[in-house]
Amino acid sequence: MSLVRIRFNDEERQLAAGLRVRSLLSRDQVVRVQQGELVVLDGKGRERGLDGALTDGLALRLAPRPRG
Amino acid sequence: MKLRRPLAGLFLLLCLHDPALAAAETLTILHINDFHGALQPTRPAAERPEEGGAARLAALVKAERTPTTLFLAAGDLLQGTNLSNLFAGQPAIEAFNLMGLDASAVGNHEFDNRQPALGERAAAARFPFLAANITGDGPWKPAVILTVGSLRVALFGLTTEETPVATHPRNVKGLVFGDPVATARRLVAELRPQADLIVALTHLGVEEDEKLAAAVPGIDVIVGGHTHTKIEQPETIGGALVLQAYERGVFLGRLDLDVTDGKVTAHRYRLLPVTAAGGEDPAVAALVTGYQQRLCDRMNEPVGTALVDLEGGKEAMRTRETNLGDLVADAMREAAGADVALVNGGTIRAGIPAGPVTRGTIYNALPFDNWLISFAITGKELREALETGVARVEVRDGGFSQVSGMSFTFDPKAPAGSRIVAVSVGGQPLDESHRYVIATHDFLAAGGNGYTVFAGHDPVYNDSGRWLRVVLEDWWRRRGNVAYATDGRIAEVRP
Repeated sequence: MSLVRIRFNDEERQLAAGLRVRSLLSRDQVVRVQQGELVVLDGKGRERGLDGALTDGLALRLAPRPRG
Repeated sequence: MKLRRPLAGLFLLLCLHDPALAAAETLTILHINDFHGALQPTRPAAERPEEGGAARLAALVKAERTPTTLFLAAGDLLQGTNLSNLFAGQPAIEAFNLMGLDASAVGNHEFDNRQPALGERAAAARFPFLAANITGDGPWKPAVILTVGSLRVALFGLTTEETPVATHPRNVKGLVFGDPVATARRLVAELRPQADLIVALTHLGVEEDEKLAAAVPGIDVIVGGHTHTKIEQPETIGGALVLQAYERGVFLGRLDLDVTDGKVTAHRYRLLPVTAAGGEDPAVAALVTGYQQRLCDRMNEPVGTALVDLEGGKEAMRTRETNLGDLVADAMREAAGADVALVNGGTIRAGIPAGPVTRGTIYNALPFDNWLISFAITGKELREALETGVARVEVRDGGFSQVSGMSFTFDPKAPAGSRIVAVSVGGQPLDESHRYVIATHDFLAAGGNGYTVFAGHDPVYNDSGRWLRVVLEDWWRRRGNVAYATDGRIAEVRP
């Protein structure tokens, strides 16, 4: 399996296997995640690190970090 | 309510004679995953506190230990920072030796320094690397059984099947990565009669861990990694608790299992942040400081000489051809054996002045952790990619294309999407139906900077453990003295 299918911000993507969350984000978005303004969440609302693997069938969204 | 003395004595007697109560024990599992060589604390942003760091992690592990504790890692320990990479993972091994790590899964990035180096690191480790689904020679074991208090705890490892396509083939030559579920079924059947508890130490990703838990009864705990998932409280799936503690040792997971006669009767879980508040372990702090000093020497190592100034300023990299842009793209094309290469100008962050070039000079020019990837695209798609590269040239967008193996002319005054005037590849006019192998990096391959035309192509070269700066360093070392001049591969229509 050298390709994976994921959903990112409700958009279907087919990508090379082995890419990571960071690969989906612009440099600006990476900085905003690092600053704690944004967060990458999976379908169950769990936070994903920037270098997390993108595995087949994954659904992710970039969202404002919940307060508190 | 206080028990009166005779009743209290009776209660104690009952406890001693009740087999279930007499066998009760609490096992503590401390765990991390995807440490990625993060030996030093990091500050994600100026206004945020430092996170992680091996010395602070070690202090926290020490503070949380009970007499019945296992400390486990779920793979990708070694690769990811200059401090660890430039010593092929040895500092991380030494740090985890000092922390008393009990076992680690084999992560896909454990292969980044090739198999002999992994063998050396494993030989230096005072803990086993576990991988039951990798067939072939290697320094890992499928499983171990550890005695903790009165409990026999079986641990087995599983590694992602994606490893062969996520790293360079040379790194996994001779190895076969088998089906984790089938492997787990076999291991659980073998281990269950010998153990009170079974822990799967996996580097599969949380979604695969969930499938594993549902498909293979008999696993008590899955300590996972690979997807860097922050699981605040473990999910119970098919009788197994599924754990993962984010990434880079920023959190330490702590699971306390109450076990009676080989059955988990209750559990408690916390994700503990690794911060300065918990102090530092002095031995690990001294280890990291020592390697930091040696890192300075490594960064100052000579790589060669630049015979001319290599232009890498922001304005130039994002608007026109530069000799450093040519050089980087040429090095990428050569390393990947591709027909053409394309790198966005925003990847190159500094020029290289004429004179001695050190490793640090190159790392400063290419600071991002991007890796080389190549795939085949049609000439039509290549033209579309070049259109993307010049679509926002007037705002100095970081997506501007620096290229190799091809040349193009663009009209910055034409509407975006119609600016490419002419393209040639290898000296021949672009053939829109021909398939060309293009080298680029992971960010663009995922469609970054607007290069959506790159997403979804099956890679023919993918070396995720070797950053572009290392590719350039190796290229430079092979040449020694480097003089580079622009050759007109990017031209602008001028009125």
